[in-house]
Amino acid sequence: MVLKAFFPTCCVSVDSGLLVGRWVPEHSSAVVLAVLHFPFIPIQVKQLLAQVRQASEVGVAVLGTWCHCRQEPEESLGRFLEGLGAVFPHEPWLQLCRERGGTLWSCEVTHRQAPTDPSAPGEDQVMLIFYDQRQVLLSQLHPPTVLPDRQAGATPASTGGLAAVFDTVARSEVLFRSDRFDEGPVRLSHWQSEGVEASILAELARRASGPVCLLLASLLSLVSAVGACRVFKLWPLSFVGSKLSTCEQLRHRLEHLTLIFSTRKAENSAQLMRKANTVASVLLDVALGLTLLSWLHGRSRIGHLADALVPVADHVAEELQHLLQWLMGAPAGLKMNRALDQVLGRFFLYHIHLWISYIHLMSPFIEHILWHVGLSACLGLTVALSLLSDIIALLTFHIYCFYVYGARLYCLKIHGLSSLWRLFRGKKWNVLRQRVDSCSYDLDQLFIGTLLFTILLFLLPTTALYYLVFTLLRLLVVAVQGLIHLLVDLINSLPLYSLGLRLCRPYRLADKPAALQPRDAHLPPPQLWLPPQGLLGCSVPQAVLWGAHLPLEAERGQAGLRYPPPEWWQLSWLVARALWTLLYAPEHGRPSYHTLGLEVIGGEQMWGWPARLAMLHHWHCLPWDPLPTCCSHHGGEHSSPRCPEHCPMPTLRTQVRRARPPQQPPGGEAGWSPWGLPSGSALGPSQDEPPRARHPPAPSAKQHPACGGLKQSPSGPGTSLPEPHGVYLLMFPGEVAL
Amino acid sequence: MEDERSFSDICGGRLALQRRYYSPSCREFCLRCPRLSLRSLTAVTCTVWLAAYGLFTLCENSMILSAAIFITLLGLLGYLHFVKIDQETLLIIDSLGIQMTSSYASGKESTTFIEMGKVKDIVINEAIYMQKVIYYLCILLKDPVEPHGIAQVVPVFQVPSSGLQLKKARGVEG
Repeated sequence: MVLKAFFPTCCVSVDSGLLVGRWVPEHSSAVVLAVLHFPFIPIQVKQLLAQVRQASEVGVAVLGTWCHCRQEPEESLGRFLEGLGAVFPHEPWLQLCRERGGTLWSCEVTHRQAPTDPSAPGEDQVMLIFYDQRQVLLSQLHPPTVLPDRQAGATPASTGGLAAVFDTVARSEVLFRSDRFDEGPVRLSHWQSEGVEASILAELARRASGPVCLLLASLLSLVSAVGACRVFKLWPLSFVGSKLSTCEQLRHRLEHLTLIFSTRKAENSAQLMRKANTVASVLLDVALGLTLLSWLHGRSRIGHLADALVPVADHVAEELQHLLQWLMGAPAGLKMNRALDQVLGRFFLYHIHLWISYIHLMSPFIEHILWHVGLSACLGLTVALSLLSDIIALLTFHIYCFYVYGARLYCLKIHGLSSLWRLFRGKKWNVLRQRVDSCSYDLDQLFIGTLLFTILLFLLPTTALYYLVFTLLRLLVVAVQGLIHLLVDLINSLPLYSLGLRLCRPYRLADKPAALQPRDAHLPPPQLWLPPQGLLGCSVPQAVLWGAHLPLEAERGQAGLRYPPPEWWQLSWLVARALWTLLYAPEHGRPSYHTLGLEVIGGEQMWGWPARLAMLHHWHCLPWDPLPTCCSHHGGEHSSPRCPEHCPMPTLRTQVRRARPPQQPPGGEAGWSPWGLPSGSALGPSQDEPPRARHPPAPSAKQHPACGGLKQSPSGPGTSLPEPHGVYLLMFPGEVAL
Repeated sequence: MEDERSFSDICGGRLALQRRYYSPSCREFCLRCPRLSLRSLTAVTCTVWLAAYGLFTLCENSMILSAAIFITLLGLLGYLHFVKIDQETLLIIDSLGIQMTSSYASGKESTTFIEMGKVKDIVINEAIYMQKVIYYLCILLKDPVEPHGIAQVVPVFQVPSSGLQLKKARGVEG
């Protein structure tokens, strides 16, 4: 049985002393946390260890001795060290020895009692593993919490050997609080013994944050109480509030600020990350907003903008008039029904005329409005962008009206046509049974029905053409608004803090990848996932990169981030299908709301932005949203106000990022987002921490072939000789599951 | 104890497998891939530059030529840094874990470590690539939720090789 000794790199060159740490029997590993130097009084040592045990709930004990001396230790020292084993009884007793200035190490293990298991081999091997204490402490690789389907009283999930080590080091922070400048009874060496790491700024911030948070939290609660009062729930205001994206964005920001300044401490690292990401996003937002403000208010740009706005609106209206004149003629060589054409054309022209007069009425106030809008940028760039999007919506309101008229007319026509077509065939729609039944009509019913059917049929091209033209115009406006909303969502949900950590301190982000974390009860368990048919034509490295070892999730959505992005022909097919649905879908299959009627297209992430276009008022969370998101009708936590409570399209899945741990988007999630941030290693995101194998410059390369450098241990039961391995593992949690 | 053998991969390049035996509980396998051949590099560069020159004669814009040079340089750097694997190492330490290191031609190294407790088995997987059947070694990982299930399949080496040699290598690993 191999005995693993985890030794901190900071203690490699300290003076001789006792090894203090924890023994994990089920993995037969000894985790050395610190070295306690001579001279010491055994009673005080035992007291200290008892205190540490009580404070940290980690079973620290004296594991053995550490000897760092000039030359070969004399017999007396050796016997003294062995005698210490009687003062601090521990089974097994570890003796590490290193020659000062040399590269020879010796590890011995002494078993006092006879091995209880007679079948265990008598020879023990010792594997010495060095770990960087600071980074192991700061990483988040800890054993998972108890799985939900186990009872609380059952044995806890057995933690992997390395997770137990990480957990031990992280929980023994109490031991690392004293440094060599403290006047204590014992002298310890660990990673902080040269001075406890702290920062004045951090301490000051921590002290100041209490009252500041309290004050701001009360202010924010006042603001939200005002916002929640009954006046705003009455019909006109609530309707307007729900349509304007500025109100939504303000509400969103208010939530964020409430989260940041809440006086409750974050319970786990996920919540802490979320808070930090929110802070970073708010700060970025305000910084960008102030930049925009200074740019706008300098050199009277607002005046220029205001002067340019009315002519632009006039120009747009003129272009629309030209378009309508063209439609009223013979557009693209098609022959329209003259009378209907003229009626519709004049109707829309009159609307444009009304619109132009409205714009001219508003023109003196434009500059003031723009100035105030510019002021709102100090609340954040997102607010300014949402205001911009609302202004665009208001300025193109006539296009929206035209679209609505055209859609209504077309919808009525299609309803009528389908119903009369059924009459023509002698069938009827049975509302009770929700199906088409045959029906015997009277002769006069048939006659009038056929007549009307013919009329509607021949008027169809005209109406269809108007509908198509205005729908495309509306699509254009929605596209522009969609881009603005995309930018706003980006700023809202980009996890800047996690990104910064990934770049500067990647070990802080190391965590259990999602595939190995305890799953929620309602998710089916993952299954073996073989490379799909689509990848069989790819070369193996490509298949590896694209799917052969995806983190397994039962829901297909997360797998999308590793699939090759859709080709242009796929996208155009999707758009064509959407248009087909728009024009020819039977009325009971069509969605019955006004925005666009485009069917939900495609997946949830970046490639689902055509779907975003369709849902102007129903923006779903971007993939980087650090909040664990699940729309309420999925039974999960409702976190983003952009997910509507009443999503009219039940087929659209709100994004459920479980490919990465919930605190940051990252990566998976892993392998991160569709914007193309790759995970660290080419072989994929869901591995555990990788120690980096280093070939150390001195020790084993020289000794490996020669056996003369090996230390022979004195006789003793069950002693072992460590073979100098060619490689020492340096434990470094560098792999990131973002 | 070192041992070196050479094989060939599915594209015909020479692979060198080096086995090192440090102790009964620690072994290392090192697979060295064929180097970037001068011939292919020259061919790609010449193609790109000839195409750029052709475009230049059409458009009379000298930016195309500089753009072609930049593209070639950046492409080569990107290829060396992200795609071209020089050497892959598999380090197996008993009762601790398996570590896979890939070092790229630009010097970048990426490592992955799998704890021994998570490894279920090592198997040889088959895949059909155009008209051939290729084999690659992969590690099966245990599923934390379901005790008999498999959570993941992790390929070990990114360079596939033909079956017989892989079987020999697997038999050696044991």
